[in-house]
Amino acid sequence: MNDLDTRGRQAAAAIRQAVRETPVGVTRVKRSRALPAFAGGALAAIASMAVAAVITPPEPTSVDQPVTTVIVTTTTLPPASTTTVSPTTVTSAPAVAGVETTVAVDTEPPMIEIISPDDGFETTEERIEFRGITEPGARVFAGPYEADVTAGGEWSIVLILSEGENPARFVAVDKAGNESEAWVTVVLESPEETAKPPETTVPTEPDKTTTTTVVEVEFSAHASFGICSETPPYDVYYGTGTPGMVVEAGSEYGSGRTEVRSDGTWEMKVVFAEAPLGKAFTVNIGTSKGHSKSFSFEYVGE
Amino acid sequence: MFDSVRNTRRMRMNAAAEDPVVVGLESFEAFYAREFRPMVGLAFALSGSRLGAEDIAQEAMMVAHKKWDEVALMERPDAWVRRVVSNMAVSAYRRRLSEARAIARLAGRRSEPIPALEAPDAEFWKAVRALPGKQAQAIALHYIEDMPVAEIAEVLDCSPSTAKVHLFRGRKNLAAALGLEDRS
Repeated sequence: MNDLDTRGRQAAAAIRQAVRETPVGVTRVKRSRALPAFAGGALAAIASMAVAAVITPPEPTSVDQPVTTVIVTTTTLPPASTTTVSPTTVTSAPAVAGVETTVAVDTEPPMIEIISPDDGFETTEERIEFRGITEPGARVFAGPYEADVTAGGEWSIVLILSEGENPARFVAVDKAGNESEAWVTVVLESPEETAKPPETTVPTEPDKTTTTTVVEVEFSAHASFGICSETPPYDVYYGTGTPGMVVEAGSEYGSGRTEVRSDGTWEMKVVFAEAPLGKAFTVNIGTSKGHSKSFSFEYVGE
Repeated sequence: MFDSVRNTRRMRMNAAAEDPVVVGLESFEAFYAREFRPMVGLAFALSGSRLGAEDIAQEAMMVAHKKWDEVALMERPDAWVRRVVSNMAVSAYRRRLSEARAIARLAGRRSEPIPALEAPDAEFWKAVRALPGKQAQAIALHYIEDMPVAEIAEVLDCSPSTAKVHLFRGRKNLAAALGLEDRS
């Protein structure tokens, strides 16, 4: 016990043991600000509970009810957590005399279409947004990644391409677990190829202008710290917005300005060189399109 | 569109494959599942806060999640996040922030803290935390993560020789503080 390494290893083992004993995981993640992907595991559990609850025949309140029809809906989470319902219609034994329970199952595969990019689309941008439409309520996956789907069924997902041809498969999964798929191939050109002088009559510049679209992105703003002990004190603000939009930070003790990047994100470090010690003040984040959000900041000293 | 941009996925598609199976880059979910607990341990050792360690680890994971497009492309995403965790854990204001959150959490009785360490182990980590920041980080990475000098250098973002100095001085100071023999 008089050896540093012996004590160190023992103390390290104690730390590892203590951490193992602590229940950390999905619930804690969900409590934090934004880790949406982690909802997957919880959703799987919730979905299985929901299915169990739905298919349990309800307690009859009156024997006059001749038929209770239950629609089974479930959530499928490919590839690991999959809850499936056989595509059949089941009529169970009556729960009580005179009451028939029918389970109707949706067997229709969801519609899925890719709106953009077009099949064979060539680009020099490594990052590309795929957009499309599917049945409202369905979920769309590209491999293990889930696309964002609006209530109306419009979906989008940003993926990173490899050089050359990229065949992309998107799978739509409806609430009953039915699947359908759509394919599109996009081509990422190498920088060398794009640097070559054009050998054909196809103009490159006009193509660029016609294929460039500014996607409206919902504005958001977040403060990284809210307090700082370093000198000079600073905070880093970040968020999303429409590409090109100007975002400004203003306060009594410091200001900043930036533009939303082409991928719809922005980030700005603002130094509050004259910030008073221990006194919180307001930092306003505003945009050229009239968005506004306020944060508190406090310099707490070393 | 908000989520579409925030949740930009890193996905390399195999052009040669018939089925575009994702290759290469790890998902944030898998990274989190594997690395979160070790990060909590590192934060616990360096902050000494049974309640704040998870907040620190989670805050670091939040930073990683926000920048996952960049972090996932790094050679050692885990080293990068460990650097964030260890910096946060030894940072005075982060400690205060964690403690403030811890107090709020305790008041709300929303979470069980990490179990307290036995006295000798608690004393060891207390002595580690009393070391200068880089020395404390090097010691924690050396014992908890069992990292060689080259990996400690990667996490601390310094040269291996600098990391070696931090580790050497940390060991020497720690042995003196605890009255132990450093046989290295």
